[in-house]
Amino acid sequence: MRWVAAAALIVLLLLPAVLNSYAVTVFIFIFFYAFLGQAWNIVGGYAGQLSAGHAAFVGIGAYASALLSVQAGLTPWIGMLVGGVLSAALGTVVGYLGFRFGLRGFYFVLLTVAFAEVCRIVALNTDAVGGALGYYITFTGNPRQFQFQDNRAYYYIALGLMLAATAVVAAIERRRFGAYLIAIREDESACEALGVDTFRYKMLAMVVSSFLTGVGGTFYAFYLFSLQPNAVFGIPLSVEIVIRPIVGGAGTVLGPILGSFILSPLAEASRVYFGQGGWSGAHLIAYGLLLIAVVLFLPQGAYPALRRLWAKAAPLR
Amino acid sequence: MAVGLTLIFGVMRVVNFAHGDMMVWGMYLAWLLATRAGVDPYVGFVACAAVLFVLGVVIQRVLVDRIVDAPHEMQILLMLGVALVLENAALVAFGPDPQRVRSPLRAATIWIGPIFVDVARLVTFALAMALTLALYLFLTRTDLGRTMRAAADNAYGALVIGTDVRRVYAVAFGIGAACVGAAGALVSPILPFQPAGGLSLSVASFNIVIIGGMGSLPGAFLGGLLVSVAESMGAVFLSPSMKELVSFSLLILILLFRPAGLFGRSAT
Amino acid sequence: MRLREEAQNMRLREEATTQRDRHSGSRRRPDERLREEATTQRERHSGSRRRPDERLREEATTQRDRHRSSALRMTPPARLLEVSGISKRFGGVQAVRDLSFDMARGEVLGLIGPNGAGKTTVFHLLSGFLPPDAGTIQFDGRPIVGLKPHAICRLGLARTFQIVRPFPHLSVLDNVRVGALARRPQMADARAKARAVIDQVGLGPKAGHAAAGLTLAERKRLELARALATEPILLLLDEVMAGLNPTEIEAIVSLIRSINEAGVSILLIEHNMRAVMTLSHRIAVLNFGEKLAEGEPASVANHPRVIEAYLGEEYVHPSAG
Repeated sequence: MRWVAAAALIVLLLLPAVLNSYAVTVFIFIFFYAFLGQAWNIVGGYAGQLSAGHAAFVGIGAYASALLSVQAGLTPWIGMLVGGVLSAALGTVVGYLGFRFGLRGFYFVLLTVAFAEVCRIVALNTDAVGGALGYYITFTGNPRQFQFQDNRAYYYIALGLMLAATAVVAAIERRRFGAYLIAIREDESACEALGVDTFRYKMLAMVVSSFLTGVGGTFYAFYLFSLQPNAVFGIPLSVEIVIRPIVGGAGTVLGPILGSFILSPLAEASRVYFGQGGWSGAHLIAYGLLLIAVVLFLPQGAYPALRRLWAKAAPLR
Repeated sequence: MAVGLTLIFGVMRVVNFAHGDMMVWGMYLAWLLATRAGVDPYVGFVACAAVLFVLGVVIQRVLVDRIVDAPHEMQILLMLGVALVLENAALVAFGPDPQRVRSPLRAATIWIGPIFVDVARLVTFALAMALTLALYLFLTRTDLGRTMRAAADNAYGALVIGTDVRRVYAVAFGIGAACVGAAGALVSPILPFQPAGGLSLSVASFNIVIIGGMGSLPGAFLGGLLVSVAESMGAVFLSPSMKELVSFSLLILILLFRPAGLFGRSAT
Repeated sequence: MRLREEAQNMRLREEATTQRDRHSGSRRRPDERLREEATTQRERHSGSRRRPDERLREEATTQRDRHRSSALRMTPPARLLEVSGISKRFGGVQAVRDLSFDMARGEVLGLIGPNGAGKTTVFHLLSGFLPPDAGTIQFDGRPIVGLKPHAICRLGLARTFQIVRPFPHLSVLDNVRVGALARRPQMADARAKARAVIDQVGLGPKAGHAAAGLTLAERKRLELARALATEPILLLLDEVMAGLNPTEIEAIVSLIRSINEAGVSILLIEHNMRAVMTLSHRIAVLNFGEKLAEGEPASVANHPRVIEAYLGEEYVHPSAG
């Protein structure tokens, strides 16, 4: 499998040379959402704590770095770390409340949704950050302000983010941390009886996940240049984050990437095909159907299924 | 609205994330009936309930049935998928703008004692109460109703004594959907609705059901009253756009301190 | 009647065998080595560096405990487990009522009693899954009430569950590895330990299989292996023999015995009387949350109240057949 990954990597690195700007944009979204999905994968895929409010972390990271850049002149390269830390702080709160109070499954989902919605409503009603009109960043094209003229720069940054997150997940999976998270997902009580401090490891997963997601928020802010509370804190973004690992394979290293490569083109295609109105929600129907199909037929996601097929084909090779 | 959700959970232990979106469809159906067929929603709600009943049964048979025993995450994701489909199908079918249904009763108001009451809301309230009562009678007096309660209490036991559990589940889901369809219709003259509103309706339902206690019908009823009062107070004391904040904060508090709600049974 | 006699005979035969084992020089060496390993591990965990003469003194005490056959007790300086006056109520039911007992190092204590007597509740209380309403529990000289289950496991008290809970999607090896990681944070090290334990319990050939596909007997072994991989001092086994056929039971009995001989103390909940009588150095009988009797298997089996409450009223008056 290694040489396939290496070859793919080389292809991805060389791709911008041959693609037009639109295609590059598509890839940027593939990489970026794969990055967010990978961050979510740590707490949602491996630890099995379904968070449907990860958009909250994107939003906090985005607003934090945007505000710091515009109001305080702090370069987003540092701002992204601040955003990450603030997101991790919220993640700590949510995680603490959820895990300390023993909220599992549906209740935890609801808690995360509630927090994301609270953030959204607060942002909508706070004029200091633009309120309902949103917050805008003026384009300067200055790399030190994390802004680039050339789309391709964003491409490589997004690719870098995706690879970084994947490396983190791979490192986690190789270590005791990963083994414990997987076991926690399987059966928490059994873990406790085996000496696993489930609270601590779930918290750790949440903190790492929310930090990375917060860092992603900075990319979001400085790629789109406008922050709308409904978009950046909203459920649709949380859905975008969650659906890629789920379809691709939650709890696997390559799942979110595979999921993103399946879903982003799908979204683009349906948006082009159906594209009337400012609300191109039609691709979400496809998402919904795909989600249903995955749950019913491929509950572990596409990547494990592919791996099984690959293994079965082995004797023939 | 909440009663339907709690019924589905009580009988099948499945959380219906698509609840709010079903309600939106109820609203749109009522709207369709009103605008195309000239049927007043206060009459048409029966049709809405019927259509949604069928939709509920179909969804249950085709989809939910397969994952009744699956781990919770799978159920959640499935219903989320259904919610996505419903919400965006509505978007495609009806467009994103808010709608409202015109009802001849809309404009009328009457005095009840010292309070100035909107007739439309009064009728909605009365009908909702009547439906709740009807449901209660159904569950306690009829055979099918009792069977459903038995299955809710102990699915395995019900299976052992020969209950067609799948049919019970289908009916339960159907009724739950019907409730919400009726609710949608009844509320359509009062509240503006749009496809994107499905989520907040789902959340509102969850709020109520969790406060009242998952699986408990009187809980859902009381929870409904409690939440609406709290929200209205929130709208009065804070700004109207913040009233959602009240319900979310309430939700968080309840989740933390008393997930079983006022009357609920445990949810595992 | 016959059952009791059988149990007695079995126990006497067993005692003879074990004593023979213990006194025979050649058989002793591997046992001793493993026992010593257990002792050194215990030292590591209890945090205090014990001086060699203390260790030797303690070993002598443990051996003395084991050879003791009379009911008269000489309490050694620190018992492995001291349970004192614990109680637990659930709503209207007093599940455990003012229960006290203790365990010596290296001992197998059988916990028997009718269903609903509170035995599994005792396990929950000991392992930290439930807090007692009253009473204290000292494990290895340390109070453990209020500690979370994972902390108690780290101190050396491991348990299995009555209804086995394997990690269904993981392989047997990965299952046991989770247990091994408790003492061996390095994945490779834990994996090696897991392999060793899997071989020890006889699941070697199934190491790569998914846990969900095992038979009940295999799953019980897996549960046992997983707990064993945490390298406990005291192992709580909750009805490991339930649902097994006689051959499987024989196998598990000798497995448990070998684990005990390697130095692990065992607290055993079991309904299978023959197995309990065979394995246990002592037995405690619970009924309605209270201790009915405690002592050597033979004396417990003859105890009239125990017979009345658990073994059966008809045994009080020997029947004519």
